[in-house]
Amino acid sequence: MTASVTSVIAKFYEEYAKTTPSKLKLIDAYLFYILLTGIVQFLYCCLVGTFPFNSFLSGFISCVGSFVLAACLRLQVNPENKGQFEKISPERAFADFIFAHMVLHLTVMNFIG
Amino acid sequence: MRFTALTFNILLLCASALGITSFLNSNDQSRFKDILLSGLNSDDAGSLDYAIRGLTFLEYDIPNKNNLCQKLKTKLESQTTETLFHLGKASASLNCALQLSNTQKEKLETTITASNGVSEIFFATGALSSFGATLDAPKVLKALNAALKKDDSISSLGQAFQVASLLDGDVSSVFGRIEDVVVQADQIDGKMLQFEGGLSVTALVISGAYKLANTVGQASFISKEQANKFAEYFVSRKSVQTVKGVYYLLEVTSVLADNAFHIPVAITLASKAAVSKSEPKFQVKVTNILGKSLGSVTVIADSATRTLDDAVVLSQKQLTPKDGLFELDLMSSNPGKGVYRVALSASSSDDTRLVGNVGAIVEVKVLTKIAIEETEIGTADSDQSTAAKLRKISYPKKLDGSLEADSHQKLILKFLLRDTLTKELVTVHQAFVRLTHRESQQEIFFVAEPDVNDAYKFDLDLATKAKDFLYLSGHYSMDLIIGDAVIENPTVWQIAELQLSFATPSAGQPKSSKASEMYQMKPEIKHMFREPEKRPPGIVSNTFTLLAILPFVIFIVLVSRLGVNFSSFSFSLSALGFHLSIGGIFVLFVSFWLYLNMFQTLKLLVVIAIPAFVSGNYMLTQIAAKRRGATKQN
Repeated sequence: MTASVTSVIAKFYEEYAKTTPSKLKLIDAYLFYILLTGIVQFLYCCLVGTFPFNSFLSGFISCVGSFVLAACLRLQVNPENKGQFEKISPERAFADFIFAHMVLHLTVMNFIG
Repeated sequence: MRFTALTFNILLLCASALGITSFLNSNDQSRFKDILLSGLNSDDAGSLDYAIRGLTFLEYDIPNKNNLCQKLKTKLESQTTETLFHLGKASASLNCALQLSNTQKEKLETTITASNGVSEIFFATGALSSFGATLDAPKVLKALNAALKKDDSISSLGQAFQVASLLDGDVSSVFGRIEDVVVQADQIDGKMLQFEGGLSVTALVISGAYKLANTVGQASFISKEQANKFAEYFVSRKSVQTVKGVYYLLEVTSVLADNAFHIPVAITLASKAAVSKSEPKFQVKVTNILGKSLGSVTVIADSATRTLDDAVVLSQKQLTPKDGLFELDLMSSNPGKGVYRVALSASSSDDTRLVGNVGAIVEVKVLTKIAIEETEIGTADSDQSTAAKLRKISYPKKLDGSLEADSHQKLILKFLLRDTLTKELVTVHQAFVRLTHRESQQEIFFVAEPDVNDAYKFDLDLATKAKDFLYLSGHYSMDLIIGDAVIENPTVWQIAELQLSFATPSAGQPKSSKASEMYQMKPEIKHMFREPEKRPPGIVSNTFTLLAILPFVIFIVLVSRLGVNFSSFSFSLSALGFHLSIGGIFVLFVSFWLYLNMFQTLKLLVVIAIPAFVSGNYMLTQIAAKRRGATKQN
């Protein structure tokens, strides 16, 4: 059982490493980094307490927002989805991503206290 | 039995409606004399007349009669009927030899007509009769009856009675009007009767009615009860201050004190209102309304009732006459202590005129002596673990040595109060224990309560009552105070010296009772900021800071393993500008977090965003063009 799961995972990783463009891999790495950061913050909140609650919220919201924005960017940039986002070039998507980030982090900074 | 009791009550009620409660005593009469004497200095004929006639009622020998006669004579030229009336009455009282001229007499006689009204007829007839002229009775009566048809007010009728009483012959037509008038009297509290117009009108009517009845020789239409209520009214008005008022009061009371029909009787207490074993008798006075003796009367105590429980202790007992007073030995019927209502009746074998002589009530207190017996004092443990240690002590001795008690103990005092007369245990209105702190003279009182068997017990738990003592330990002296309205010997007994020690207060200082401390400054109220919540220890937060940075390191590692090539980075102006301005925006955000406010931030953001947008747009357009170029080449 374990062997089959590991073989499935190994195969999945092999496939991923082979077929995914490096641009997307970069975004995936970014997503992974944000996910870990969010998890660490959540752990802190569960284990130690919510004391500077606004700081926790702004940090966590920053993670969630960044993750969503990055996920959107990945969808729009992915060549396999080209049919759906015909009018949106990867550059346009990246510009949107940057703009959304500016707005998001203005809010986050306001909130962080 | 019940029926008889009821009848008795009704009789008692009727009886208590009778009987006047006081009389015009010598104090009142000397006050009246002073008021009347001041009236002698007046220049007004009316006041002079009232003063002179009033003093005559008091049987006072008027000084300087000749001067007064001269004074009256100077006023004889006066033309008004009223002045002549007063001059005539006054000179008759003083026996001055004043005479009217014939023209004046004729003028007065012509005044007696119906058209002049009742009061002119009253003054004219009064003047004529007092100056010694004879009255033409039928003519006066005719004029009077005609005038009464026009005006039959109460005061007119009163004057008419006075006029008619002077006339000879048949005056029954006026006499018959007495009944009409008396029914118009107003009742006050069911005890008094008066006429509208007050003292002078009431006195005029009542004295006129009795005088007229005397002239006619027939009892008037005033009942005994009414006579008594009028008498009660007159007695109640004894505070009158004017010369005229005093005259009217004296006139009517002298009529009520001596007439052929009704003599109101006042039965009043003449001694202290208290009897005891040493002074077992109380005395009453039986007088007429002027305080004069009524001759030979017998006085009987109908009953003596205790007000507390309506217990009747004696009935139908005759009082013994002594020096004009009547006395009764109330103690001989062994009454208990208390306040008694004694109903008294006075009767005379040969005088049927007495009214208000039945059921007069006097209140008498029966006092008794109290003995304090079987007194025990001592201490006991509060938790009752051991039996109380009590020492006997007898009144009026003081306990030898001093008694010590501390906060784990109770102070106990037991005593009995015995009525020395009846030998029964009794309770009193006041039974107090007073403790006085010797140094501060601070006193504290406690009430000793009787139990169901009337045994008194006082019980002081030093632990629970310490606050009342303000935790003031030390030397106390203890007194027992016994008092009551009906005991002869109220007592303060110094029982013992105490050494009390109280536990110090468990929480805080005892509140000082000193008034000065109430007005001292209170501590200032300062604003309290909310205390920040406890922060986690430094090592925990530092660990988590590192943990939060760790994913970034992982990201760097991942990126480097992916082998991102920075070679295609073009160092064009737009690319440099774009990256610098993006970095500037992030620096701006950090400074917003650290020290800027939202408005400053937004202004600066606009300044940085414009080059970022322009250069970003330019750079991305270049990249896109390059990419398209590349795809076309492919």
